[in-house]
Amino acid sequence: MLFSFCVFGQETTQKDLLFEASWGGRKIHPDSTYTMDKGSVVQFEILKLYLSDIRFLPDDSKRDVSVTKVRLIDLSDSLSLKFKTGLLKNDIVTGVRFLLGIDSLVNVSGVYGGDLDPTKGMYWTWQSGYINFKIEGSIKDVNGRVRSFKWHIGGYQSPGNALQEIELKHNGIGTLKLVLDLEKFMKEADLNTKTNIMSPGVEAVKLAEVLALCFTIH
Amino acid sequence: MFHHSLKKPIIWVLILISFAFIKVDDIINLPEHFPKPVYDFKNNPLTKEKIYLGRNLFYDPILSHDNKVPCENCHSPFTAFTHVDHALSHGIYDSIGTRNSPALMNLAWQKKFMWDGAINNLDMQALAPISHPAEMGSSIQEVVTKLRASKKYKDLFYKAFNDSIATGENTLKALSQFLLTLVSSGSRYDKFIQGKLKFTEQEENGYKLFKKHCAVCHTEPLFTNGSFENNGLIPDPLLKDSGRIKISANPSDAYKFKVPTLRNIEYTFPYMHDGRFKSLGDVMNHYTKGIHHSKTLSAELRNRIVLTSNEKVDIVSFLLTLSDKEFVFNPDHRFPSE
Repeated sequence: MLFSFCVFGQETTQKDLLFEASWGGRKIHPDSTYTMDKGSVVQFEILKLYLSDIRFLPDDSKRDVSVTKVRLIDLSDSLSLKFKTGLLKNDIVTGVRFLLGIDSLVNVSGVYGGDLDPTKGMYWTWQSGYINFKIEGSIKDVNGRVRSFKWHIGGYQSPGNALQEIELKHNGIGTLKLVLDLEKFMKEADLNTKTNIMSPGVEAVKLAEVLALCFTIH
Repeated sequence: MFHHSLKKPIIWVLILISFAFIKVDDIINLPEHFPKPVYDFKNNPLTKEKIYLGRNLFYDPILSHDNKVPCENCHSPFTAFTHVDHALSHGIYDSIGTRNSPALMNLAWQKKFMWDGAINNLDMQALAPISHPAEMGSSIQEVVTKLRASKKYKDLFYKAFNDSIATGENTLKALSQFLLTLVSSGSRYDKFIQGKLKFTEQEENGYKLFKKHCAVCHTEPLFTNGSFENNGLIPDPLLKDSGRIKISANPSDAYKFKVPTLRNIEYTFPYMHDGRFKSLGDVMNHYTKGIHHSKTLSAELRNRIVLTSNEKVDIVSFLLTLSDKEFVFNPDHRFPSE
């Protein structure tokens, strides 16, 4: 009886999704610094982003995909970096599809609670709309000059719709780890002129497109 | 027997549906001559407890950083929920804003909020003044923290939401609930439309002229079509306010502002987005001989409006039929002293 319980307990354990921000394979911490190619040193102070409509794609196409409506990832909040997927531990996942940000319907439908509560600091106040992601920090160049960067990227209306749909392939079973490669992002971002973007528009969309290419799943 | 038992659930469903409709109608008085509201009541069903909480929040300076500036500061019930002391809004630390505070009424029928339409839903509207450094200078995070520490609000939130812990969502929903009760539909105009009274000859003539020259934008019965228009004001060189283009980034929206309702216009002076006109006479003179022509000028104003002095007086006479004393002096809208 005890044996049966253990076996069934293991089978019904849910598969978690872990989020990790990385720099060249190293896990990023807000207190640490990271060196770029030309010797500039980067420090991240804030990394917050919305993942929504998260769908895991099991190998059996007859089964419904597991859907998580919205998760706010906050690098400073370890509890936000791990969440239940609704999948069983032994389920084989062939991929994951999600939105980076909040879709237009939610953006125009009034106030929500939970991770979407405006107290989370991810809703603009001077105009309506969720901030899909925030990345803030500073860069110290080889001459010791320090510049800050502040990207609050959102926008749900064309041509400033910054929402990104991302699909990643995955092989294998076990725990899922979604990795955001910020080294790749910082290489691609325009650090010379566009270090402050805090309103919707074409520049915000470009940066969202860059970030969308920096996710992998392991 | 089978058919009889099958009918019962259907009857109950119909009763419940009609009850839900009547409940909303009872609380906020949806006028029969108004169109269908824009606000989605299903997402925030009205209750007396939530309205009462929202009413308390509206009149409480706890929403501002220094605990001195309530919403009422710029939105007094006795002037149709705007203020008449200043052309531009007056906020925390005696700050002066860049726009005239709008009158609050019939908000369930509004699609966009603020002069430039920056806010897309009533639930989110309060975030703007709460956070603006020249209005209430706070944040929804700070407000919620203060509400959670308040015994009074623990009690009110519990009664309203069955949870004593305030959240951003519930704070904003409660504010919306009170604001949704601010329905103005008891003016002489409304009674005329309902066949309860007749206009005077002067009002009747003013009404005809209004329909000819003004009603395309100030459309009945809400007296706004909800659009954004450039109404020919010379841009203020100090304020440099270019209007809706700031939000849409569309050059065709330069110097366009939301068409305001004309209901209760008698009480809501000064007029225009920057409060530049003190009287309705000034407004009439602007539309007849003060139009500044520019690329985005409203099509309705490209041809000069010609009115005699008497005709202007007649139009103003009609506009005064939009005054709703039942609304302005409604005790249910005032500071909750009980």
